[in-house]
Amino acid sequence: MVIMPIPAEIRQIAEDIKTMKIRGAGELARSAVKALMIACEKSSAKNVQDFLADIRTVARTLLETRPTAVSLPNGIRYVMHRVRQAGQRTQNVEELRLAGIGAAEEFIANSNTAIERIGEIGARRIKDGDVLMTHCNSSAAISIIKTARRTGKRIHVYVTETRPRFQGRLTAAALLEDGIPVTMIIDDAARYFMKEIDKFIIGADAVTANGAVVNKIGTSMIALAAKESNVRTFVAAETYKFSPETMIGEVVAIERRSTDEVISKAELEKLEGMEVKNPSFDVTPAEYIDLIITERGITPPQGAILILQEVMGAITPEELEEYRTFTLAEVD
Amino acid sequence: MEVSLLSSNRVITEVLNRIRSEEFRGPTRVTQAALKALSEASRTSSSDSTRQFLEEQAAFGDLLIKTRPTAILLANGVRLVTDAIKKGADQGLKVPELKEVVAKTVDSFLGEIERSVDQIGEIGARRLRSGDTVLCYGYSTSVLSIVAKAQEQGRNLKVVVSEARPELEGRLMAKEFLKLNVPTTMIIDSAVSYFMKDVDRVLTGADAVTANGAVINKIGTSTIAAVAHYSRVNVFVAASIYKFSPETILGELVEIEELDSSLVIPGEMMPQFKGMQIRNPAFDVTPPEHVDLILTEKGVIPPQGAIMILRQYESISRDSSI
Repeated sequence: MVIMPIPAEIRQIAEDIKTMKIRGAGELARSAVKALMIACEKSSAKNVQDFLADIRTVARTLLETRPTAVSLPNGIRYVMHRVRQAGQRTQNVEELRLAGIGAAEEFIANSNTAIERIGEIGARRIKDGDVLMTHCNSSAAISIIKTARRTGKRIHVYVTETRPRFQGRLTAAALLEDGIPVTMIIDDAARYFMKEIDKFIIGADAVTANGAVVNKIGTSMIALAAKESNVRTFVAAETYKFSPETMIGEVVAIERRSTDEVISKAELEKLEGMEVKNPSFDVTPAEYIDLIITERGITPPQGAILILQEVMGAITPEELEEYRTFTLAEVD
Repeated sequence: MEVSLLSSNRVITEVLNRIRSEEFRGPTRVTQAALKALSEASRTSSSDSTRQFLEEQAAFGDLLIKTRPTAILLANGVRLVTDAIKKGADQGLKVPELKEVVAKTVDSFLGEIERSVDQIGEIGARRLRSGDTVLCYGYSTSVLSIVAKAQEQGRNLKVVVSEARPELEGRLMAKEFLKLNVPTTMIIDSAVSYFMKDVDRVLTGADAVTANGAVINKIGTSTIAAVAHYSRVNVFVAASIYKFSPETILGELVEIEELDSSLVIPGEMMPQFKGMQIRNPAFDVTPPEHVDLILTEKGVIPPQGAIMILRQYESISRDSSI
């Protein structure tokens, strides 16, 4: 068995992911899938086993960059699942190569248009005169709001500032650019204003097999306030945000960020002995979510498992290695 | 009248400015400072007629109440003073004697506040179990009293302090807890839900308690109480009976102030957000369903017992029928 050396082009992509030259959930996934596509094109394997071994080596190299978003492993799983399926149908290496390249092209094309598609689908759920609330800075959620506005719906958006890094300000600027009326509030005031809100719209960093949504810290509290007030909660999430490792019982590990974001070193010194904890995300249970808007259409959160099986395939024991958990961290 | 009074009374002007600049944290501290100023303004008053003195003191009282309309403790304290003056005037007391009445009323009320904080500490500490992790929110003198008492009794508490945007009173609370040697963890307000599974009790103060047992407190309290309620974590509110709002019996709503928008986004950044509105309410309302107990100096009550407190302690609600 001959395993090809990893082409320089692929090593470069892996390096750029590691050094965070490549950023953003979508971009990370597309780059990794492109690397796999190159591997499919360049493999000189003469039989199916060797071809699969070549691709697997590249996949492992990419996974070892320890990505901080679920999108990258998902891109890899998407392609690997389809190559493996092809491997069961045929002994012809060329057919496998084509299956791999085809899957990669499909994933990249899908991912490129996902935000736009989510915007179109989600905007249909927004009514003229709706008052919306959003938390953090999600390009998918913004896409829905902007598309709704472009289709002539008059909307007003409450934007939470999103401590500690104030990503709400980015969202506010993006909405103001399109002339959408914005009210900025502190995160603590979300429940106070909930009576005025029709829909709470957010993005997701990960969606688990049971339909829970991992998103910016604070999301679950606002979703609870929304549920209490009979306000709908919509989650905008590309299908590559769905987390297959949760199908095998893994939990999504959540990054703890620097305490400097909460309190400066100088201030902290004055509070000697105090501990500061700064997790990036929290988990909103499926019961608080009314629907998830993906580029493949709308699903109730309980349908997450169907999306996962459809996009990533069922997990076999030998695939377990690929499904190990990474720590989810902020990518932007 | 207001303008001339303000310019003529240095003591009142000064305390108003100090309250507005957020020098005093928590409604108890604000009330103590305001009433001391009221007493001082009375002592140095140059009014020569009873009527003028009464009007002047009432006007000062109004100004003080208006700086913190949510602080019912302050309103109740001022009301006690103006009632005492009216009663004295009705009995034919002259200005020098009325000044004594003011000084006595203020002193006795301040003493009562001190005692109530201690008593709340005693009573509240009994509700904390050994080793409890307590989540505290907003600046509260009564909460500090409870934690201090529990610590004194060797209860080995741990506290989680939520920072309380936008003014970060949580840091002041943390400082006090650290002085008491209580292990303290600071989190952002948005992380409360994340850490709720590690918390045994939520403990907050109150700016006001309404007739139906709703609690008005630092913005964000209601969200935390909701999360606690759905996580089956008990929510305890420490509040003197003087925080109970008699006006709400008559259907009045407690007015919720909004603070300066520059606390949300610094003024120099605003040009980047042309046309954007900022809303910055200082308080919110926690419904009685999300409060397990109110800890008062007269004992522990369920929030639904607020009406009982208001009816029972007539001295608070006597004037509410006017």
